[in-house]
Amino acid sequence: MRNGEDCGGTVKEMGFRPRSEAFIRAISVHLPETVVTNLQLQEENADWDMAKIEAKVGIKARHVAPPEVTAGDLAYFAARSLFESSDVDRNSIDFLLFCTQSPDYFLPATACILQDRLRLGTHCAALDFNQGCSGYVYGLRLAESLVAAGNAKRVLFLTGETYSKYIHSRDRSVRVLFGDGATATLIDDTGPGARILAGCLGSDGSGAENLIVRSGGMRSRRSSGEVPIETGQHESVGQLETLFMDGQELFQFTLRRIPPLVEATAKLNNVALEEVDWFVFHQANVFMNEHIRRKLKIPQEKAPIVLEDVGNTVSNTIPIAIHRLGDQFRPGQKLMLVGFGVGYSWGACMLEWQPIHRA
Amino acid sequence: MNSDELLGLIAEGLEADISTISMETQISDVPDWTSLVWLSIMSLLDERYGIQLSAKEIRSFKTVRDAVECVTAKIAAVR
Repeated sequence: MRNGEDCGGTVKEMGFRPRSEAFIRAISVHLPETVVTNLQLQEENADWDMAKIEAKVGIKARHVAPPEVTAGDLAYFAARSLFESSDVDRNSIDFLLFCTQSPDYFLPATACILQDRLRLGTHCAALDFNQGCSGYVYGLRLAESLVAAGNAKRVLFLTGETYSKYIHSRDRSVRVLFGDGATATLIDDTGPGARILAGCLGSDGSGAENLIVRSGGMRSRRSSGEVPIETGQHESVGQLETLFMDGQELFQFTLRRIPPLVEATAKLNNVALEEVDWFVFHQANVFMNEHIRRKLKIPQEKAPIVLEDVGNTVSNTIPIAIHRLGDQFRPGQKLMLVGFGVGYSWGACMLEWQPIHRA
Repeated sequence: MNSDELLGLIAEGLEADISTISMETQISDVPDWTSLVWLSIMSLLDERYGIQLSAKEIRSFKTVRDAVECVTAKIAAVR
């Protein structure tokens, strides 16, 4: 069986168990100050039924970075508050991972710039990787692998996203959903903190066209102008350099892929679904998250949704949720983190909770 | 399962009274029939019948009848 062909496949082929221990010790969050509320969107777009949209997607406001502020800036602020609120030695970081789909430059890697700005040691490796809603789980698996292989003792894993810069102001399908933000997570081989348990990752690029920014890269460096975007009925227009989303295709992908992923991840960790104390799903929107939750027969209180005031912040949603819900988690409880979306790509892993530093 | 049941499900997704739609309704004539409505319909179909519609299929539907016929065939295939 090909990995990712069917997440219900045998556990051995599906995922990997850590060979040694890695722990999440701290998480910090930074959101840009500017907030765009549904009221503002309604005033700007008389033809949008914001009340109906809000009832469906459960988002009332989203933070948006100003034009001069990049994902790298947001990630810098998140990391800075982690260092300033703790006694973590900047020189102890030996790997910097930065997950973004809106990097500051084509080159160099934003992670290299952040190494310098954050005054990390020059022994610190720096790497950008391009993933979206699955990015946090991808990053945790990468960090855990680096630590387990002895290639790093302490990893600073940043997520930062400014999708707002890709969004056409009249494209309702994405403008109502996405928000900007950044997070910083510290992972090391000693703890104390939440232990990273087994998980699985996957990808299916046949869905690439369904959530995409078509131009800007080398395939098509410049937009050829404004083109209508047709995503079912009554959608607004967009340009080639703006974010395009086919919500129906993404919903179908999620329905097909995520329940087997969740079941396989539980199996990989030798627990029944009922034994998982908390499910921290990528916070896509209330409609999507609730559908998945009901499909998996997970009680509502085990799968909280915390996106009302921030929207879908792409790779930031899971760390933001952990940051917000940390007080409710009890030592020893089992969490499952589940990310899915653009790529397509997906990933899930479990954590054994112990309190972490939050800034 | 009959076509009235599916009409009811579509009306539920549309958040409209069932009397406002019929098999002959042209989908493009209903201003409230946004992509969000299709997501609701997809969700209801998945929950009640375990069947899924693709975006391509949805784009091909002109009338309510097109949608009902496609769904009916899918439900028959899984039973």
